[in-house]
Amino acid sequence: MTAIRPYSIRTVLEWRLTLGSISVLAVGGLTLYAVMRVALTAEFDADLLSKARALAAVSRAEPDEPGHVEFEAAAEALTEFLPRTSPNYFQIWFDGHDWVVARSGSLAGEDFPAERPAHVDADGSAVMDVALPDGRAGRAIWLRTIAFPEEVSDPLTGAIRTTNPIPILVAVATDREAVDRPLRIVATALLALGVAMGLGTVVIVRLCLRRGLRPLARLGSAVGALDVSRLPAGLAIENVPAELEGMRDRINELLGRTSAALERERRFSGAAAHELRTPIAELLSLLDVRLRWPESEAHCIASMREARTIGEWMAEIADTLLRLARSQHATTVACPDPTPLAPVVRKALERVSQSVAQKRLHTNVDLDPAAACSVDPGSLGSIVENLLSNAIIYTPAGGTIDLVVRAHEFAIRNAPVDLTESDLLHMFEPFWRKDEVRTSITSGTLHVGLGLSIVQSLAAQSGGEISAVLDSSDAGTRLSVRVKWPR
Amino acid sequence: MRVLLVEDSRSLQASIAEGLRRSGYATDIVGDGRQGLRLAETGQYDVVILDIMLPSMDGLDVLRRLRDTGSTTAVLMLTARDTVPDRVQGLQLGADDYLVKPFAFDELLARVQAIARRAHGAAKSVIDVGPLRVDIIGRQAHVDGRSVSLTPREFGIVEYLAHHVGTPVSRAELESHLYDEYAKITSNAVDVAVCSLRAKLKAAGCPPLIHTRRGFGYVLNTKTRTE
Repeated sequence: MTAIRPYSIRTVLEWRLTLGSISVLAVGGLTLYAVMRVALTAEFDADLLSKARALAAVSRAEPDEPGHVEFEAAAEALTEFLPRTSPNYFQIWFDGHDWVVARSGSLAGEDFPAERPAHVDADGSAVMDVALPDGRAGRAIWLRTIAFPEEVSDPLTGAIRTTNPIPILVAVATDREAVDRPLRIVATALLALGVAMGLGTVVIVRLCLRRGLRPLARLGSAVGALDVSRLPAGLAIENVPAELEGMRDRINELLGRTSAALERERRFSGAAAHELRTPIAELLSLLDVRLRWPESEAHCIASMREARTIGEWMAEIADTLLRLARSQHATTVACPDPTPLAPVVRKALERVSQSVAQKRLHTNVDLDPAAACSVDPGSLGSIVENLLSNAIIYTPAGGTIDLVVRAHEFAIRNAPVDLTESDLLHMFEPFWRKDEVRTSITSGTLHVGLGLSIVQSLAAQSGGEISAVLDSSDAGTRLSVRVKWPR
Repeated sequence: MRVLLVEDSRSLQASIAEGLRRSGYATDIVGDGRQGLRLAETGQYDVVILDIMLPSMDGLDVLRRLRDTGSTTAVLMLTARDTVPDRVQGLQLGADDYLVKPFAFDELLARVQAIARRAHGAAKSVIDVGPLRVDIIGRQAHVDGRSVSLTPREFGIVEYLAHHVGTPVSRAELESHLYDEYAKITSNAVDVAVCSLRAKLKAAGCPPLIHTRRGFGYVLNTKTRTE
């Protein structure tokens, strides 16, 4: 399987911008060349046309010889048409006939080196590229015009003699060098300029993109360099452009949340490992020692009893973990009829009455008989009972637990054992317990440290909120845990 | 050998301490970090078995503070945390070994023996003094290849003296390494145990190797001079 190499934004942009810029330059250069070619050719053609007209102007219909055209150009005007190196060419016909009125000496009696055009423009001219007799590239113009008659005054009578105008066709050909040479120079200059500008474009595009995309590269490097096993609280990148600011802030927010979640998971894993492995270690160590030194039957029976207590503890941990898992994955069941709180609280008090009596605790219940909330009875009972059990465990013997029951609200207050503000940050985490009650068999009470986590999950699942506040006064410190549901 | 067990689980405290004592180690137990540190700092322990998650002070804090005082007492970390960073952290702080819960008691005992041996500078698991061979791992003494039946206390004495072969060991030092705080020690308990030990070794054909340094204590060597 071939790995697909990820494309680079910078490379793609470099290519696209470079090709785009070069294309624009090429089109611009070609357009400029074409405009110059048209302009130069038009000027050249105009010059040819004026030459043709000049030749036509010296072609006169002869009044004394009707049907005859006299070509009367001065010799110095025809210098360029003489047979010499690189001459120009012309030929004049009676229009519509092959009868030649005149032709340049450079043609040396030969016919004009191009076929007559089939059509002419509105001004009677037609222009085309031709190959000159000496092999040069040339351009020829045909001009269909009139040889006007010369007016002759009779010296005897003074009468003016004239004749009818005669249509003639004038053709002039000259080499294109006057057009092609400047065009070659322009083309060479444009090509050189284009290459230079193309190279400049490549360099400028690369530099601009490199500099412009530097913040993106820095952000990418910072994200790529993240060590997933040791996530930082955030990316230490300052001065990012506005376009990336939101992304950086969201990444930092995600990192913060992920780090916090990982830290919670690490604490949970450590606590879970301790809670689950310690009783197994207790059991194995107990059995190893007893098997190695069985001693008396009484010793063995005592060890088996202890093993049973440890087994019960392990079962309690497993059950509580399952309850926590269920509470975390429970879905809120719509409860059309509000559940009255009073019977739920009374039932919970009844269930913990033995523990309350053992610790000689006093319970004060401030109960609104009509209090109810839209939570299913099972979840509500679990919330109240877990909070009560927790309060019983953390209240010193002989202490007081206050319960306040209002519509959509349940609160419990007690004087906790050595609880601090910092403990409030962790008390809803799974397996969290104060030192005094952390060891199951030491305390003699089955307290896994999952009760508040279960309450928090159930409260959240039922749309409620749980909060814990520590109030210190002269009477001592009191912990208030309150669950509120929306009305 | 005297071991301090710092562990908050009462069940583990009881079973480990029983196993160690039956293996000849005087074992003191404490259930929280602060008390554990206080006792470990006295320096009278050959090995400290230290849990990490402890009430009042984390086991890693106990270890850090213990090492900060310059203590070189061998420490075996005992914990439920098994991740590499946890182990590395414990060892970097100066733990001599690391054992993850749950564990077999035999493994715990072997590790305690190994780090105690290293703590006393003995690389081998057996120490030979003349015809006497002290098998640290097997908790056995042999004279010319024949096993000598010793009580855990007697073996503890010969083991400790073997670790300090040629060096006089005071009665108080022997007491502190052989008896934990729960032991009822009479004024001549060490002398009685040494006497019994000598008798058993002599019965096995061993020449006198444990010599009395009058007014001080005992020394184990192959020289025959007895004061």
